[in-house]
Amino acid sequence: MNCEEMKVAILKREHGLLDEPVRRDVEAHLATCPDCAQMAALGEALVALKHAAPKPVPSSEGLVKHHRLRAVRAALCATSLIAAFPLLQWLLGASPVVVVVTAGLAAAAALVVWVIVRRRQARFHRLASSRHFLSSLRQHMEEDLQAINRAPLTGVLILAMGGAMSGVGGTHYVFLLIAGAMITGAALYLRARALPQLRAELAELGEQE
Amino acid sequence: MNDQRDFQAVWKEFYPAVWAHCHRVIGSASDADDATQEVFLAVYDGLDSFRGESRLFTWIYRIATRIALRHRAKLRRQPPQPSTEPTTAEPELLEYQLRRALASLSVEHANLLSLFAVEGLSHSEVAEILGIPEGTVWSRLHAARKALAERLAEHSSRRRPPTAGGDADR
Repeated sequence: MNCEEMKVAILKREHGLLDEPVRRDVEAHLATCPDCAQMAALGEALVALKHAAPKPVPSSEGLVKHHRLRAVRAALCATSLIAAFPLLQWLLGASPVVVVVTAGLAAAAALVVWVIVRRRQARFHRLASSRHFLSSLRQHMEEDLQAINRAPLTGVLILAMGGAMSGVGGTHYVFLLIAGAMITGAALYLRARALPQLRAELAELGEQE
Repeated sequence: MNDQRDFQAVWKEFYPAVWAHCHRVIGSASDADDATQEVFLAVYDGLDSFRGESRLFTWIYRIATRIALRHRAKLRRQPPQPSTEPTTAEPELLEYQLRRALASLSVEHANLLSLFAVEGLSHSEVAEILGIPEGTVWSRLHAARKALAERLAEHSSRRRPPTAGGDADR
């Protein structure tokens, strides 16, 4: 065998892919050719790298928590979308123009919420890939905690607007009252479900840091 | 994910190998930490939709290779960090030089050598992960190893002790 034929044979030899006679030929060539022997030795040195300095496996808790938070964000997004309830207006007998205008505004609001959620997620991904992962996660969770805390206020504000408009007349205030009540209910439910979990996770993170 | 234990199992099984692969390709331990975390975020996102068309480790290595490539490119845009060369045991020195030489190769060469020679994957698995024709793997592997030998020679010639005149200056 010449050096050209040895190129692939040396590689195959490392993975035990050579037949016995070929393997013997390769060994014989390696014993006489320093260049090919150097390439073979390099292969052995590379194999040894696998066993050098094993990396301890850290906990994956941070990653798992990050994905749990996504559910919370989705719930927040849904809560905001309830505010856009043009169908309810239609059921209450509002004119088609008002329904169409409200639907347009609702779509715009949904788009804004969607963009905000996407940007937050992208930011989180950037933070998550930094070496300060746990503190980034903590900061993000604290922001979510505040957002959930504030969510019922939105509903209360809409309720208050409905109450104020009831004095003006028309049927629009009924829509505002119903939407406000629904948002407040959903936000309170979210608070009851998500807040204890978030707080427990934050405490746990504090212990890990 | 339906069962988080699935992810935990994947994490435990593949974390060391993925970290080691990223480390070999990127050449920096802290960047390998970041890259590995990113790999597993992508694995977590995609594990539910992983349809088993390829083997799990092939799929994970493909993600790792893509992310390591991005981190390597980012690292190249930054000024080089000073690294400390071990001065004691010979095997440690060889390992250090080998890692340094690997990380200085092109990303494709570093990936090829890391996956085939170190991780011991078959040539068809390497072709699948890197998205290259199976028939070209052997020749590319040989070229990668040759490039590695050249880098090692360059590094060791730079480390060679000064000539007689240089010694006299001390």
